[in-house]
Amino acid sequence: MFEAALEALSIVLDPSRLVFMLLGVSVGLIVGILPGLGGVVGMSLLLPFVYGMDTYAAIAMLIGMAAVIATADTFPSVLIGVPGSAGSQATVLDGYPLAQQGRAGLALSAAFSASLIGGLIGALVLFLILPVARPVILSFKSPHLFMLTVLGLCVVGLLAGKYPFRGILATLFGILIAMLGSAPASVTFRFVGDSTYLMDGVPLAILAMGLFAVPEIIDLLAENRAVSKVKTLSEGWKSGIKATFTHRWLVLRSSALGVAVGAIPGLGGSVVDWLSYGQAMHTTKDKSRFGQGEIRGVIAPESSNNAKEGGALIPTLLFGIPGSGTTAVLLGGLILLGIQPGPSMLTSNLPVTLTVVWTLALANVVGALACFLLSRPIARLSMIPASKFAPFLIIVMMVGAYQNTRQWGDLVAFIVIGLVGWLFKTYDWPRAPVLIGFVLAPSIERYLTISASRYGWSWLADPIVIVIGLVSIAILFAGARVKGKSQTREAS
Amino acid sequence: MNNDARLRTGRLAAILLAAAGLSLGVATTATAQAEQAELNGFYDDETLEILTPWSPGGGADTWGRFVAATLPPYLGDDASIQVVNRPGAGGVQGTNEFELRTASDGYTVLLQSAGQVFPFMYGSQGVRYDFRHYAPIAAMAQGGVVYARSDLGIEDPQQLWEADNLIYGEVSPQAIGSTALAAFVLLDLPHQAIFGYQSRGPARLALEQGETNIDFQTTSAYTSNVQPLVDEGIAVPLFSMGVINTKGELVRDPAFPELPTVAEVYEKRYGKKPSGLAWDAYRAVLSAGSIKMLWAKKDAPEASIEDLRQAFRTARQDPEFIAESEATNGPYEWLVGEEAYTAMSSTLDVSEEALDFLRKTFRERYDANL
Repeated sequence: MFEAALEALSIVLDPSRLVFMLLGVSVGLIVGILPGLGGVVGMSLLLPFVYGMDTYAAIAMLIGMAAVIATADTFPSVLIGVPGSAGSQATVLDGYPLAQQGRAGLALSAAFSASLIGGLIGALVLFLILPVARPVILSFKSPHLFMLTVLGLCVVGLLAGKYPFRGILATLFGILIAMLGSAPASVTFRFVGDSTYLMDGVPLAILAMGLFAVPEIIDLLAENRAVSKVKTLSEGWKSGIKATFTHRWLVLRSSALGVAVGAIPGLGGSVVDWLSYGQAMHTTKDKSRFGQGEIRGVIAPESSNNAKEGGALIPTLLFGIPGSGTTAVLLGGLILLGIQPGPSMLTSNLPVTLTVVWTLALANVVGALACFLLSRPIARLSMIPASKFAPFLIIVMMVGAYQNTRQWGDLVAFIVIGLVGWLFKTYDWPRAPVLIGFVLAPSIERYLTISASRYGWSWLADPIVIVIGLVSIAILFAGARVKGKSQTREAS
Repeated sequence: MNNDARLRTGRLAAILLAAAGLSLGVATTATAQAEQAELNGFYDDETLEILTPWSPGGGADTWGRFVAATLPPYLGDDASIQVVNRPGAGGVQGTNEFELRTASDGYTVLLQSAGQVFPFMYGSQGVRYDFRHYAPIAAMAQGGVVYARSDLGIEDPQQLWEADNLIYGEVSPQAIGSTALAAFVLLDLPHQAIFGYQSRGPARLALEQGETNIDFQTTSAYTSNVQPLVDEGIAVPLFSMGVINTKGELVRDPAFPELPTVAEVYEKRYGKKPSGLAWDAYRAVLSAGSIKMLWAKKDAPEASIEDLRQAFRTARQDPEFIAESEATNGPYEWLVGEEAYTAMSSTLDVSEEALDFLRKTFRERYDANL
């Protein structure tokens, strides 16, 4: 296989194909930087050109695009508190406070170096695990997937902050929003009335932007100040890279988590940053700095969301089952190129698979370097007063929101959710649990329905189900204990 | 890479660079100029849009993109075709838009697939369109196979009735695979259906895991992902859904000529050809679920409709086009104009009695309200 890998490297490094990879990378960078646009939009832009192209060049272009989004989307997350795409929501929590303290340079360079390492680990794991991944993925049946989503929900306990009860309510609120639209397993539509817009539910990107971006912009405008509260950009770029290496075990753990969550079809990559953030919090002794500009809170989600792409490609290539919106479009592209993903990806189509792996690795390196180069000029954005850049930003976000379904409902939903988000922020309610509840609710319902109708009650006795259940309870209690401690500290 | 391909990729690169700035670009290279003697020239130097009411990436979208990439040389001098995605409500939203807001100028055609047809057939809320008011352009019926886990101990479809617990995984009773459910209704085959899988892919995984033991996959998914299981001895193919030909008849699937169709399985089991409401209902669900089709507005310029049909007629006689089509879409026929309508008619002109039969059976079996 290593011989084949070297051969594939020479395929990828062919200048005529390298051009296309760079092209994909540049589209990915732009789409990543613009808030609200993600991998699906990037793929849709490139898809019309795929048919008739050289197979390897087309793959290099598509994968190159997908690989760097998770690197570039850090810019808006850190600099303006707006998630650049659904995968970098958790970065906002600590990256944005760092920018407010004038330490955007530290946050960005730590994020880019973590992204780079995460992406490389993702590619490496993809390469190593592909030949043996099939039985592993097949071992996750519906009851196990149900328990894993429950485990994801329990992480909310760690994120809820000072008010655990509000955290629970916010999670339920997110689940409630997810109930809008068509129900899994039946032909009924819930709470839609006569609206055809709501039949598909609220798009994730709109919910994420509305909750996090709109409140931030309203507050910045109200105070008419720049994002950064200090006048100069302090701390060099080197300190960020140093921070990544200081926390190398965190980077490795988060990357491993990213690959694993990305690889399980049906779990989806959009919560991986939150899981990773929760994990970083759990393994840090002094938790008080999380949410105030803790660099570990930037490094963890950034390494895992790049690693996730490598993981998400495993079910896409091996089973032809896309794990995310981006890989769904990628699948369409592969079929147009005459490649039907499946077991043949390890035999007759092995060169294609290896091209994917190499492109993933190369694009991560190129993307991270480009982001380093771009970061100095872009970081100055955090110094501009809100009244100057907010109108531009609002328009960009509106356009981004409208890309979801291109219906007026997108804009209405964006504004309504934005106002709700502002209320949440003003009254100090946690917003992250809303998103997690929203993302996990369909899977919870789906896998619970399947488990119950297929296995009755017997699935509850499955050993793996019990183990994941115990871990979930442990995480819940750990979260509660942390809060108990910090509250007593505050009281004393 | 040969020189020709290099030239082509170079050109593509230039176009791509221009489009990278987030504007949806159009690129279609008209390489082979086909015989265009009979065209009116309506699409010379023009762009045709294929309104696709789903997000990019799915089966129907890929079919539309194949047409967009391969048909232009047959459509006119420097003609180009662009896919426009308008997702929403499983296809209903974009199709409503075609009905209510698309101009009848001949520059937009609608892509139809299972997503909009089932809500139309069952008369669901929010449907504002009626395919019978459109002009049929071209269609393709793509088949699929019902197969089972080999540890069920079944080798022949006739043994299905001996198996003690058939478990079938499905998205919802109204999803594309309800073709399989309609086949089970026709065959009067006892089974348990588990609903809730995200799509046919995870349902296939469930069979591999042993969560279910009987499954249905469309041709492309079957060829790439189930055939290896058959080769390994994990799965056995049982029967094909059959495809509908230019005359509207159900025939063996050209991709699986060795497999019997549902109708043959029925005949062998019950000693007579299938007929009656269950048969009408099955054919209605089959054509709704398996046919992809392009429609134009009926009041679009006559010349545009003629040119579109002519383009497909010329294309399907070109061995090169057919070879490309087989590689991407499987060995299925292109049906043009009235042939396309005939194939679709068992759905579009289905009787109210057959629909009521379907509704009643689905309510009784799956507690589903169609």
